[in-house]
Amino acid sequence: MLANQWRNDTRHLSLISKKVMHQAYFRIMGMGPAVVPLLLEELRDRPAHWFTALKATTNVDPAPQGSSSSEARQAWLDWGRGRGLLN
Amino acid sequence: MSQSEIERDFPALGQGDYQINSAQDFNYNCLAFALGDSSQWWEPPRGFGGYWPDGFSQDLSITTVISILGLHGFKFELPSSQVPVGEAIAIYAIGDEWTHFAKFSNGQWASKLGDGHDIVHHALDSLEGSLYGKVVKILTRSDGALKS
Repeated sequence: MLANQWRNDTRHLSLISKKVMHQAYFRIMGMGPAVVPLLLEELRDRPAHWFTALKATTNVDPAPQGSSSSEARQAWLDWGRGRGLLN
Repeated sequence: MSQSEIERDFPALGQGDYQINSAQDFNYNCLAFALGDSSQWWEPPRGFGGYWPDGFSQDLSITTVISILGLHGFKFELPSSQVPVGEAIAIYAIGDEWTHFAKFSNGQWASKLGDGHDIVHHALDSLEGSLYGKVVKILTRSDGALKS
C-alpha cells in the first residue's frame, strides 16, 4: 500500500533526491529491518529506486560504486537471495 | 495503466498529444535522455544515485545545468515562441531548481518521464504543472537557426 502510494506519486519525478523525500518512503524506512524482504520483492517485481531505503534499513550496500540502477538491483537481489530473504 | 498514469500526472497532455516511445526504465532520467545517454541517471551529488560530470557544482541550480548543457554544445538561447531547427533542450524548473528537460530533434519534442517512459509530445507546455513547473529556457546548438 505505501509502496504503491510512493510509486504512483513519484514515478515521474526526475530526481531520486525528491523521490526519497516522500512521506510514504520515510514511513517504509521507519519500519526497519522487518521491511527488507518486502522491499526486495518490490525491487524484483517492480524495479524502482528502493536502494536508499534498503541501505538505511540494512546498513550495507552490496552494489559496487558507480553501478547503474539495473546493476544495483541485481546486486541487491543476489544479496537477498544469499541470505534467504528472497525467493 | 501507463497512459492513465501519464495523463493523471500531466493533465494538459491529452490522448492525442503524445506517443509513448519506450518501455519504463529506471536507469536514466530526463537530463541523461536529453544528452543522449540511456545508461545513467544524471543527478547531483555524484554517487548519491547516479552520475554527475566532474568540474561542476553539485547542485540543482539552473545556472549549473546551463553550464553542463553548454559543454554539450547547447549554448544559444531561443525565445519560447520560436520553433528550433536542429537540436534543442528545454529546461523546466520550479523556483531556481531544474525539474525536467525535454529535447527537440527531428522536428519534435521528446521527454523521459522520471523512471517511466520516453514520450514524444507536441507541445512543451503540455508537461507544465505541479510536477515540473514551467519551461524557463530553451537552448539550441546553432546560433540564429530559427524557424518562425
